[in-house]
Amino acid sequence: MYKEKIVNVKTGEVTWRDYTPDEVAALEAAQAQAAKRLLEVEAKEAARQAVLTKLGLTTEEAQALLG
Amino acid sequence: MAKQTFTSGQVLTAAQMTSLQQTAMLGGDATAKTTSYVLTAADAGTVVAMNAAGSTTITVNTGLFSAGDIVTIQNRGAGTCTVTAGTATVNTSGSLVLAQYQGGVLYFNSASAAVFYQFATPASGDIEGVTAGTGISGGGTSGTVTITNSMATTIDAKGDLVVGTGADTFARLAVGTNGYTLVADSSQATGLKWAAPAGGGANWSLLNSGGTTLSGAATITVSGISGADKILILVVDAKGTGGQNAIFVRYNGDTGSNYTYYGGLVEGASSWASTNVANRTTGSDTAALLGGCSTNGNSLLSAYHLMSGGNSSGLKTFISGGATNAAGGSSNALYTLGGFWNNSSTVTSVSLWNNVANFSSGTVYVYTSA
Repeated sequence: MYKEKIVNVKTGEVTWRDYTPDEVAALEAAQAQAAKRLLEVEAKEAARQAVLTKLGLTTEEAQALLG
Repeated sequence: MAKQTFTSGQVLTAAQMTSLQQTAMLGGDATAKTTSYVLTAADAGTVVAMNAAGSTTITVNTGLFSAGDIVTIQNRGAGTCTVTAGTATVNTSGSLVLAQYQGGVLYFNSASAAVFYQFATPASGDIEGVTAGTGISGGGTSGTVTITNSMATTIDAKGDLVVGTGADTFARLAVGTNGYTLVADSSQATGLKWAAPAGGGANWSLLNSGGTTLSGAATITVSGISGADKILILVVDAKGTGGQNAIFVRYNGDTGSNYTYYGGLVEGASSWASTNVANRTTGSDTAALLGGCSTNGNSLLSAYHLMSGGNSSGLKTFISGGATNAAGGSSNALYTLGGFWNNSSTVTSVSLWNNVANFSSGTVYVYTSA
């Protein structure tokens, strides 16, 4: 469950409220986008690592070669 | 005393001399009349006083008085008394009708003609005196009267101020030193004093004492803000429960596309590439980006967000920056952004919004300055 925590500095009161369905939907959509982006980054990193492995080079050796 | 005919060798008594003096001063013995009266020769040099509740007359006839004789007439009663020309002529520039306590002198130019010189008495509506009220001085009841503005004369020199010291009272406050400003000070008699201007720097204070923990919610709001022109938000080691969490700032819970910001970020990677540096050009977002954090590599975001114009009706500008602390990995990033919130409302609350998950740890501090 997603919530909002509200701290009123004037009264000292702390209240909590549950996210509305629309807010939850927006959050879940953002989650999906973030997960997709993470997968893309990880795939790119894996591909790069595969190339290095195939060449028998470490990351530092590849960087030295590329100047 | 009545007009006398003195004879050679007559000895005047002290009483006669006193009476003569009184007569010379238009005074002397008087017999009050209670009804209308006709002057007789014996009235020459005396005071004829009328004292009646109703209207009466004093009649002047010819052949009784000599040129130079006078009769003083008084009206002591409530009823009007009218000096009436009987067989003699009576002229006056005043009034022959005497109200209570009015009077005059009847002066005979001849045995058949007299002039009544009325004693001056104020008429209804006449100004009888000028009395100095609050803030002025002077005044008087006769002749040319001068009144002076006391507040004006309190001023002695250039720059002087006249300041209230209490109800209906005031005092001079001399001009202060060049560059000084006037400030309230209740310990002063005038309630004011000149003092060197206070420093113009912002006085910051922490609104949420001890900070507000970032956990258990995807939005953390600090509300109850008022009169704050500048707001500084400091986020320390923020983390969310999601994978990749982007953390934003919102004002007054505004989710409209009113946030514009530009800048750049440097994304971490296991190897350096020019594409690790990217710019951000966000013309209209629903919140102002602060930075990101991730459970991947356990990256924590620490950041600042400084907003100006929070107590105005114009744009609220802000700058922000921050970075995550994970060692290596794609989840590490450095953010530096600036922009504005396009909203005319004054700021009453600020929110940290994690756009994918609840916060799991971290602290936010909110500082304000008027």
